[in-house]
Amino acid sequence: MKKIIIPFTLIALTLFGISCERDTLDEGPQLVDLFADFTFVEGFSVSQKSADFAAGEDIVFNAKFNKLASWKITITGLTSGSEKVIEGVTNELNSSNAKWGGSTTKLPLFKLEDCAVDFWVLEDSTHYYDTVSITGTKVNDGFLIADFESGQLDPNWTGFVQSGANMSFVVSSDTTAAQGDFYYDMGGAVGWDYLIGLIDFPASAYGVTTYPLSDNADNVYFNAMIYNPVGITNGFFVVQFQEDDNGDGKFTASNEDGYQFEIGTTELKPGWQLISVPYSTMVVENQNGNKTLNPDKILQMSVLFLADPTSGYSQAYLDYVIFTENRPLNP
Amino acid sequence: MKKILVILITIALTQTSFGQSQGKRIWLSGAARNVLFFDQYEGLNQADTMTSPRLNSGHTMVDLAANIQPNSSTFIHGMVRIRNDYGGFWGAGVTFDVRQMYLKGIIANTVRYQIGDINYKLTPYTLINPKHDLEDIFLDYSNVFTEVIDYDLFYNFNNAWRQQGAAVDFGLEFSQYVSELKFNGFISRQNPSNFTTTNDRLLAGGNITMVQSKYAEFGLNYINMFDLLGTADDSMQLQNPVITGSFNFKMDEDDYLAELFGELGNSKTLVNNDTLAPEISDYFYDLGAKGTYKPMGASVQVNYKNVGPKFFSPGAQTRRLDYNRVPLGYGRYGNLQSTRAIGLMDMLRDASIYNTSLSTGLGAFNPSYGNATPYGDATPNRRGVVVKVAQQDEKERWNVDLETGSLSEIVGQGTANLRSFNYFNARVGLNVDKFLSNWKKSININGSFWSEQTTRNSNLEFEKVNLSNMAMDVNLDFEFIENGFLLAGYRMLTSEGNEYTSIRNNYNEVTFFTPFVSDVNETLLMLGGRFEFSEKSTLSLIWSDYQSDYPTDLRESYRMNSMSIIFNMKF
Repeated sequence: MKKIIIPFTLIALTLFGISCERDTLDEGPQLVDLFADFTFVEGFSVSQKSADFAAGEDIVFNAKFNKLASWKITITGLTSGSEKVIEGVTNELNSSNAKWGGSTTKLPLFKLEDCAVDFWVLEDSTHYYDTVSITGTKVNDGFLIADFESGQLDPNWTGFVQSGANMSFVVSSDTTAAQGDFYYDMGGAVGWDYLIGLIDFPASAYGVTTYPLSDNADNVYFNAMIYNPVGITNGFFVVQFQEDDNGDGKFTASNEDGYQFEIGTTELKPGWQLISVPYSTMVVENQNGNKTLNPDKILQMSVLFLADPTSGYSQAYLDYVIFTENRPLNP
Repeated sequence: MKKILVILITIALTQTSFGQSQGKRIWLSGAARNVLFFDQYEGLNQADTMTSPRLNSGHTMVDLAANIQPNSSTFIHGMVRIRNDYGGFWGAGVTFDVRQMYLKGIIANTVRYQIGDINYKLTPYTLINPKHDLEDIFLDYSNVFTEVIDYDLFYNFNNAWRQQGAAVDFGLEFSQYVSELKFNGFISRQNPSNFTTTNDRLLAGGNITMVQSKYAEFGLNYINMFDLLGTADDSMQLQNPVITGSFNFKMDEDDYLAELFGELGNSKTLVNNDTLAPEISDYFYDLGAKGTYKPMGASVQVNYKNVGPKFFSPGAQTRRLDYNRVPLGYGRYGNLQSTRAIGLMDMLRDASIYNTSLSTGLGAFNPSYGNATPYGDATPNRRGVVVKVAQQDEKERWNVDLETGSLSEIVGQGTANLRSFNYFNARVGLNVDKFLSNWKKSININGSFWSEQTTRNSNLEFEKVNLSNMAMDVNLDFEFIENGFLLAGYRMLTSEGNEYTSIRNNYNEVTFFTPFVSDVNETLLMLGGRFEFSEKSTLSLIWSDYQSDYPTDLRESYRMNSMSIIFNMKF
C-alpha cells in the first residue's frame, strides 16, 4: 500500500499541473496609460488628400501615441458646412478606428467640396489641421423615394395643397440642402383645416407594383431629412403607408391595412435632422386587411404636413426620403 | 428582547445551586474586564491648535454565560455582555448584547454537532482566519493587549473564523488499508437578506480526511460562498466555490522526522444573471518538505507555492485588519483634522479596526506593514520559495525561528514587469531564568526582526517599484516579585519607497492603480507591570510613548503618550 501512495500522489500532482491553464494577461489598466506623459510616437497624417467615396474609397487618419489618449477628428465641409466627427480613446489611429467613408455626423450631407480636418488630443494642447477633397460623395444603400435633385417634383407623384395663405410647396434650391442642392419646401397658413398640404409617392412612380422592400417589418427603416426653421413650432408630419394586402394593385381602406407615424417639429432641433423609424413601429391607421405590417406590400406612401389651424403659418423642409434595410440610414 | 434575556439569566442564576446539586448541569461562567486609556497627544510638525491634547477612554464590561447540560450528550451555552463605556452613567452609554449562543452535542455517540455560534477553519487556502499584519513580528507584551482584542473578536480559537450556522463531524475507523476517515461540514450565514436587493449569502463547506496510516494522510476540502436565490428580489447570484486536495507524508524515526506535505486546488468566481460579471477561475499549489532533528529540536522547512492571480477564496483571503477604517482614538487630528492612518498603537489596542466577517473582495492593506503576503498564504498572484528554520532548546532556555521568502508576481499589474518580494524575519526568545539555577521566577527576553523588500524593475520610471520595510521588537518580562512582573518593550517600524495600490471593482478586477509613497518611522516604547492575582485574573499597568513620523509625507507627524490600565478576569 505504501508503495503506491507516493507514485499515486505524484501522478495526481502531474495531472493537476497539466489540466490547469491560466490567463497570463497583465492585471488592470496599463500604468503607462495612467501615469506616462503624453507623446506622439507617430505624428498625425491623412492617408490621401482626396477621395471618391462613391467609388468606395476611404480616407484613413493615422497617428500613434505612447499611451491611451482621448482624441477627436472633426471634418467640416467648406461649402456645405457638413460635419463628421470621429473620436475615441486609444493609443493609435488606424483604419479600424479612424476611417472616413464620406459619412456625416451633422447634416447636411457632404458635397463635392474641400473639407477642413481638425485633430485634437485631450492630453496634448496642440491642434492639428489638414484639408482633404471629396471627388465623389458617399452612396447610400436603400430604396430612394425622393431627393428632389431634378429641381422639380416627379410628375408621377401626386399631391394636394390647400389654398391658404403664403403657400409654398415647391422644390427649392440651396447649397445647404440636406442632400445635394434641392429640397422640398412645405409651408403655408390654413385657417380651416389641420392639413396644409401633402405629397403621395406611389410605387408606380418607380416602375414597380409595390415598394421593393423586405417582408420583415423589423428590418425595414423609413428615413427622411427634415428641416425645422427657427421659430416654427406648430407643424407636424404624418407619414402614411398603404399596403396592397390582396395584391389587386390598388388600396381599399375597407379591406386592407394602412399604417402611419407622426412626428412634430417641436420634437426636432432647428436645422436639418435625420429621422429613422423602423417600419415595425408604425401605428395602425386602419387594419382591415391581413393585420400584419408588410413593407413589401406598400403601394403608396404619403407625406402630410399639418398644423393647428389656429396657430398660423407653419413651414418645414423635406429631403432625401429613403428606405433602408437592416439598419437606419448612416448618412 | 432585553427583558427576556434578563429573565433568562435570572432563571439561570436561581437554578445554579439546584443544578449543582444535580451534578453541575447548570452553571455560570464568564469574564469581566476594565480598560482605561489616558492618552496625551502632541503634533510634531507645528503647534496643533485643533486637536484635543488629552483623551481619556475605556470601558467596563461583564460577560455572563449560562451553561446548561440537560443530558450527557447535549450542551447549551448562552452569553450576554453588559458594557459601559467610559463616561456612561445611569444607563447612558450602557449596552446589553447577546455575545454568543450555541447548542452542541453528540448524536448516537457518533455524530457531533453544533448549532448557533461556531468557530470554524479548514485549510490555509479554503477557510482560515490569518494572522494580522506583523503579528509574527510584534510580540505582545505578555499578552496584555492581544488578549483583549482576541477575546472580543473571537480570534483566540486557533485561527478559526467565528460564524453563525451549524456544523457536524464524525469519523469512521477501518481495520485495513485505511486507518480512519473523518468527515466534517458546516454552513453559516454571511450576509442577511434585505428582501429587495440583497439575497442571503451563505458559506458552506467541509472536508474529508483520510488517515491512511501514521505515514500518510489525505484531505479533500471544499468551500463555497453563494447567494441563496429567492430570499430577495435580486436574481443575481454570487458563487465562489473552492476545492482543494491536501496530503501529508510522514516518516518518523528515532532522531529524525521527515515530512512531505502540500495543498493544491482551484477556485471559480461567477455571478449568475449578471451580464457584466466575468466568470473567472484559477488554481494554486503549495508544496512543502520539512525535516526535524529531534535531539537538537531543530527543523528546516521549505515550501514552494504558486497562487494564481485570479484565485479567490473569501474564507482564506479575508484580512483581519481593515485599513479603510478609522481608529477610535484621535480618528481625526492635526490642524487640518485629517483622518489618522492606522498605526502600531492602534493595531495593538483598537478592536474596531478589525474584521469579524468574511469579505468577497480583496480588502485594502498598507504595503508598509507587509507587502509580500497581505492576504496570508492564499495571497493571489504569488509564486516562490519560503524557507523556515526553527530551533528550540530542549531545556526551554531559548527558541529561534527564522523565515525567509523569495516571491514574485505571476502576472504583472499594469505592466508586463513583475514585482519581486524578498523578506526575512527572525524571532528569538530567551528564558533567562532557565540559565540561572537559583532563580525561581521567570525572566523572559524576546526579540524579533523583519525586513521586506519589494522591487519592480522597468525602463519606464513610473513603472518602477522600490519599497523597503523594516521592523524590530524587543521586550522584557521580568517577574520581580511572586506573580508580579515588570514589563518593558520597544518596537519600531520604518518604511521607505514607492508602490502602487490596486483599486478593484466588485468582481475583484483591478480597475486602477494609486501611487503609494511611503516614508514613515514609527516607534513605540512601553514600560509597565502586571500582577497576576490568579491564572484567570490579572491587572496590568502600561505606560507607552508612541511616535509616528512622516518626514517627507504631507501627513502630520504626531506623538502620543498613553497610560493603560487593564484588568482582566475570567470565571
